[in-house]
Amino acid sequence: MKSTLAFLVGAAAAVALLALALLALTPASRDVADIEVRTVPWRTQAGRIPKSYPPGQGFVAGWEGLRRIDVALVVQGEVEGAELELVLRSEGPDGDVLRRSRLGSDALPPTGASDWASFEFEPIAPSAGLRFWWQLELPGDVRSSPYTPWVRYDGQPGIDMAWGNRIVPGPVHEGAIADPSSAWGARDSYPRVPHPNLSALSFAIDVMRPAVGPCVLEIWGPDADPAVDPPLRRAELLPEEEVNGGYAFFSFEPIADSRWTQMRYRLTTNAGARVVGTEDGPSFKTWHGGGLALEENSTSFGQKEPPYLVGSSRAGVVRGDRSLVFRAYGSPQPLDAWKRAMDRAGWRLVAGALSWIVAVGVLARALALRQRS
Amino acid sequence: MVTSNEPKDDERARRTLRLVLVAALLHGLAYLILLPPWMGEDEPWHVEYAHYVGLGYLPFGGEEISAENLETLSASQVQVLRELGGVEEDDIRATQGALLDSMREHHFWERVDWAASGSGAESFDQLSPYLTATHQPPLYYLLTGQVLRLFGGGDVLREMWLLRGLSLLFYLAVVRAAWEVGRRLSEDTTLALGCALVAAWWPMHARQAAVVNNDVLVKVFTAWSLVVALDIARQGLSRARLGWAMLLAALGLLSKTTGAGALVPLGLALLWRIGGARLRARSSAALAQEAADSDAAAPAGLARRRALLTVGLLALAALVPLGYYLSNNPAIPLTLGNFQERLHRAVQPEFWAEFGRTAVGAFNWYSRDLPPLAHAAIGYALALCGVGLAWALARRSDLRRGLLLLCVAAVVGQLALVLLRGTAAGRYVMPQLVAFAALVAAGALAPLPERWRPRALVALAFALLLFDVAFLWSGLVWNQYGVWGS
Repeated sequence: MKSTLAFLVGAAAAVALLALALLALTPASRDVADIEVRTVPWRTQAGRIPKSYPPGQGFVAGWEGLRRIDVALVVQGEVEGAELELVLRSEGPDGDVLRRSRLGSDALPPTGASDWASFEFEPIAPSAGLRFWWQLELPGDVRSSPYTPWVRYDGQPGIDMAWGNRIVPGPVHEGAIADPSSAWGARDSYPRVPHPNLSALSFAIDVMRPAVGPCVLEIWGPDADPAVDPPLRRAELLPEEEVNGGYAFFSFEPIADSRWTQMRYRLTTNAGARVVGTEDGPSFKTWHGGGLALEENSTSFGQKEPPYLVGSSRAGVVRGDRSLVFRAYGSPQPLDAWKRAMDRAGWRLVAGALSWIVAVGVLARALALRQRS
Repeated sequence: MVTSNEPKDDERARRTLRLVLVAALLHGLAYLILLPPWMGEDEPWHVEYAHYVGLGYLPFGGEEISAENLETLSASQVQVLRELGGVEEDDIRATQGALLDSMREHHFWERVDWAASGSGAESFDQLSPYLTATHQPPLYYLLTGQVLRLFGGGDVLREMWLLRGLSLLFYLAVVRAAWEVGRRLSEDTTLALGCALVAAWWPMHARQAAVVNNDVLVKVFTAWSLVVALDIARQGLSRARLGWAMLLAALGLLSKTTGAGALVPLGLALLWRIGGARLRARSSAALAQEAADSDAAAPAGLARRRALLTVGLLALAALVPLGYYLSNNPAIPLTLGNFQERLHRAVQPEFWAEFGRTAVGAFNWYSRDLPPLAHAAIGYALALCGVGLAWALARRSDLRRGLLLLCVAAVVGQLALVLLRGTAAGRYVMPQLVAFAALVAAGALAPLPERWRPRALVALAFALLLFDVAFLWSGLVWNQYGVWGS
């Protein structure tokens, strides 16, 4: 009888502790992001925001009452008097303006810092299942901002050169797609591409204004001669894809058999472009696989469960293969976050909880036995 | 009166142990159920290795490789070719492809923040370049490969669940060993129960009941070799104990290089016996001289014991190079520069912060943590146990202090291996979890008078339960199911 009582007391304590853990020790649903681009580390910055080409990002919300969007920013330059405005639109980058939220430098990360900036606004109801597009704009007459958003390319990093220490002269930059200083390069006498499905190169750029003149990347395969053969891939930055102190992404149809091949690139820029690198040449990163399909082109369009991403934009021109690093918050009911977790966990949550509660009950029984001895 | 109670006490202790093991089984099962597929660190690599052995390939006898192999296989795949005898390239590609498909299906990339993107990945190198489990010592994979052959492998997810079931059994074996260690440290079974409790409810250990890797096997051998070491220290060396010591140490080294930690308590126990034997030999020789004025040699039994001890020490010494030969122990620096670099790294506060984080509570392949408040609370609680332990060691009590010091040495030895390896991961100290559990239990219970200990045990259990509930429900479950990246 006593042992049964001990078991019941133990199990009851377990239930109480479990409830405490679920309700008090986890964040309230309201403080849980509805959708979040989680990536560690923040690897590539998009560059300081130019007035003419504001960056933006689309997503489909999962919860009602969209009320806050946090954007990951790194600050390059003096922030005094600087402001940023998040403009939220319905549907796409050309949709109706729903909300505006402006932050001054006191509410934005300080110079040199890399942190979240929180843009809050009047909750939007309904928002669950609806598509939104936000854009970071510069209020007033300023032409450029010290704030630069972080961007995540939807692929696996391969060659991953650090930001260089100099401007590499010349409008034409050529070389092997390889990093001789990395483990990949050091282990092989031939410079090689590390992974299959090469789908993008991102170059470290001080200034690049494609609207002034073309900025083109060309890639040749192992047996091709750039002097005579046509390139295997060619990618050109759109006029809107201006870069100031960030990475310029040249993405293209993935090269399926790129792994362990010797490839060459030629980056041709306009005269005013300033490419960052080292004594070995431009600093760049390669990206493999991935390529987030635009929602409209995706086979899963209309079948995905919200929330999900739908691509990023520059001045309204959408790129589906990358996302700005951000998180969005809605106004869920108190238990909505746990309901979402339960949907994902399914039967596991109930079975695991039962096993855990009974374990604590049996433990209590063992302890009671020890008390009596 | 005392004699008549002994069988009753024994029976009660056995019942308590049975209940503890049932509780541990259910506790481990909860972790096994709740940890989503592929969320054990390096799990896909270990399942891959076991899968090959399950297919009939041997964990040795691989072929010489060259840069030409990289034309057709990625770097991690080439290492499979180098380590496993007769493995086909198509099998390697198909296995990694199947594992990556399963990881995508089970939302690996939504859960692990540092993993960039799974779409289009064809080899493990696109998740973590060069990484492979096939250079690990072979025992775990020989065992798990046979399990897969017997119970039907093929589908990698099914294989993962089968092997996780095995991890649950290994976890129970460690809890049982913790009980045995507690029984040897004191006559009071409260301490044994405390040891088993800490081993079963230390969350990062309970989580190992649900993870496929060779860490889960090596700790079984090191835990039981600690039991044997305590027996040697306390009761002397016999052929059986020497045999067990050798076998367990060898099996540990054949499971993972971190098993080298078992040699510390075993070696010290043997040295202890030598010291004790010499003292006894001196005193008995003096007595004999006084009594019979005899100049005869030491008793034949003593000579035999010495010989056994010598053999034991030599054998243990031989295991070190053997272990190194088998596995190219990463804890052994190959150059002075490398040694200095590792030491320099190990004295940095970041090293210990990372070590503490991964020993106390980290989730989603170490990409998320328990809140700092929880870490601080655990730190204070452990510091309190440390004070209690020092108190218990300093004053006379029913504790066998020499044996407790052996547990201290075991933990320190394992920490030294972590330092030498230069990689801050909590799981590398897990082979001496049982010794750690003994120190925590002794620190919490031993300073108190015996009559107060049962209540202190309840307090210890409650503290562990609080830790566990925070770890499992607001940490592991919340991070695995509540917070996904897009």
